Amino acid sequence: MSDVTRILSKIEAGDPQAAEQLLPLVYAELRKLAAAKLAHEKPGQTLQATALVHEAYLRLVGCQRLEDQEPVIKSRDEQTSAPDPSSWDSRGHFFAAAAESMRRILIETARRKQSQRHGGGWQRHALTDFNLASPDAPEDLLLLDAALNKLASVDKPAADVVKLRFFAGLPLADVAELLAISPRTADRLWVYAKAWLHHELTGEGRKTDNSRPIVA
Amino acid sequence: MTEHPPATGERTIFLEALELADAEGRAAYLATACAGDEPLRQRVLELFRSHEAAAGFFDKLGPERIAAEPEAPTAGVEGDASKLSGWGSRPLDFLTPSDKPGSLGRLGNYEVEEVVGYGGMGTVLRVFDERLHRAVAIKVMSPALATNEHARRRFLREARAAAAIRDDHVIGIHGVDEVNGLPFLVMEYVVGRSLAQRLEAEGALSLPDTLRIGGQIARGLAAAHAQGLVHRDIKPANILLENGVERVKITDFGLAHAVDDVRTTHPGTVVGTPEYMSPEQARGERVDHRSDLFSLGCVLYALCAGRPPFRAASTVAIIRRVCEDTPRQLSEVNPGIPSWLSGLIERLIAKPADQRFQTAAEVAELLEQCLAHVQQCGTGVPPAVVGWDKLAQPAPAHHGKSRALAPGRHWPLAAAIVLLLAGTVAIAETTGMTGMVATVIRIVGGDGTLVIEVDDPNVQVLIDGKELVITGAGPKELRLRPGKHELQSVKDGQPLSTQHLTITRDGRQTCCGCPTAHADRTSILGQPLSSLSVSAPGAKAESR
Repeated sequence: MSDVTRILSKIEAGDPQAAEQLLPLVYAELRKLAAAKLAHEKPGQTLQATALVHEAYLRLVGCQRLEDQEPVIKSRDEQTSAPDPSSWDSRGHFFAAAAESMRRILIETARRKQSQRHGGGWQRHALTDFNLASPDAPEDLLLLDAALNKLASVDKPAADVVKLRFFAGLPLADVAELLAISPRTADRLWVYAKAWLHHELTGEGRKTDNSRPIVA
Repeated sequence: MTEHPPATGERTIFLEALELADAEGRAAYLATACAGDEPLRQRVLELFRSHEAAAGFFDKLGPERIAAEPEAPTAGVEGDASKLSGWGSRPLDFLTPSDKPGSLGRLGNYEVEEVVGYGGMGTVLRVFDERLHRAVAIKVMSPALATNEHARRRFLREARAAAAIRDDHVIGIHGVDEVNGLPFLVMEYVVGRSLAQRLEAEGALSLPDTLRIGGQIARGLAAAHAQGLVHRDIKPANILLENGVERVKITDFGLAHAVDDVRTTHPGTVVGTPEYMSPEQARGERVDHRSDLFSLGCVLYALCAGRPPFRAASTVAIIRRVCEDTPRQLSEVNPGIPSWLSGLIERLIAKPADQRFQTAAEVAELLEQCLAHVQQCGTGVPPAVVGWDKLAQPAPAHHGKSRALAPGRHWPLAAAIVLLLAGTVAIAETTGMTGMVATVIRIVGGDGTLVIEVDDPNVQVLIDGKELVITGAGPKELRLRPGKHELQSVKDGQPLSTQHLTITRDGRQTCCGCPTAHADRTSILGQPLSSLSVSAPGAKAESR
């Protein structure tokens, strides 16, 4: 059992301190994995952030034999033997930690690569899937990160949806499960978050009178 | 106002308003909900505009729509993952444990070594084939989609299509297999990035690189066309550049259809990203191999300019530009491009297919000869190549005008625009995931005739609130009176998408999905595609 699995089991069992230990561990593992891949130095290589998260999941939590699969959710009453690290609750913790870790790794990389670029400013091209090997336009990522922090301070659920999607690459259905909300709610949060972020990042739709305060 | 903290209040108002069908209703709702809080109302309006513009902005990260999962209703089981279409959405749980150290798991007889790409549609894994002792790539369908028969068929069709082609510049398919009902494709493992990534990272290519890569794409296309296959989704994301040699490998034949395969193809089905789509494809007409040549032209343009020729903020606006506009002159965008190359590209992106080059092979020839010439003689003198006369002549007059109408055809402006109303799944970058569309509704203008084709029997279409009953296969036609109409597609009781359109009689096009919309227009709504007008000058649209 990997360290991560051990901690996930502890979280499942209700250990209050276990959750804090998860993030640094997942972060360390992801960095190690990313570094190992980048070390191969293939020219023009891509290292898709979301692929990395999923590979890390497989390495750290492991895959379950199909035949052995238990029913997915055991309610608290039904908890039988050892807590199942692949249950939705554990999975939720893992991916939340992985998304946050990936975000930090990407930001670090972006800051490192950000050389003497002038101004910054949001480049008007669509956000591509984050590429660890050569993060293009690091300013974009840093601006996004700042915007995301701001969103988190005014509307945390919406920001959580965005983080899981952007940094862990999870489809909305999974995000809904992990955040224990309905798929429809997840979708609505996503729609709102996109508009919010786009507005924040581009100032689009803003009237010319910039002195008017924006109600957040 | 409510007691909600401002942010949540804003979100609720924004979402509620977005769901309202018509502009007046929305304005009224906003007035009530904001109750005199003018900055809030303005803010929500600004968010609408952002919503509109954001449509394509975050798309590459794969915002697929949830396939209409009912909202925790009758089942009464909270958070039951098994409800999520059969397999559930457990990431990569179809792998079985492996003893081999460092392996991620096993899939049938393969050892999975690495996750190369992960997206809503499916996953690409690097895998070791122990029998043949080599690395291959495996593209697995997303388990959530595997239960959808329509999606499976499309996935398998890709396998057949691509497997039939053997060429250096087309990614090789080794086989198709299935594990526990989950289909997967075994393909050549190519290390390298896509042309899209190269463009993102480095911008426009040098002239020799453009010619070289363009020529290789054309060769790959020639091989596909020789098999009677039209790729239908040629774009930089589907062109892999094999490392070191930067050799082109065309990938993702998920949308390819055999030219003569009429029965399984509904003419009028439009799939793929609009920026590299040909006009006939955008209009939902029958498509042949020359459509790929148009797309190739767009790709060449992008290689020269660093960006595709037809860009706009929304899908509908892009489609309109593809059908009608002449893109900015390459010489303006990149003065280093010689006129013989921009001439070649112009010819490739001629609106009528008849005016383009007619075969990929001849384009490949030309590009190869131009490359040889440039390598030896520089770019000053135009290459004396076979088919030089084709390059020297300016493209025919019609093509040059921005509101060009093809000879013999009276095309109302924006007359035929395809709307993707249901289940559009974004297409991931590097890994060549297949995009899938379950339902397409096509509007062919002229006299306001609406033509609808539905692939997925589980989707219902509502027009102005009334269900359109679709019986049998093939297109259905119904007439719409001038005025405003609402189209909605619904699956299993969940609305998938809502679209509004206005039929006018005066032949003038009033709006088409521009995000810089007009404050009074209040036509920004619903899902990414915005309100549009179909002009109705009376001429019938061309039949397919």
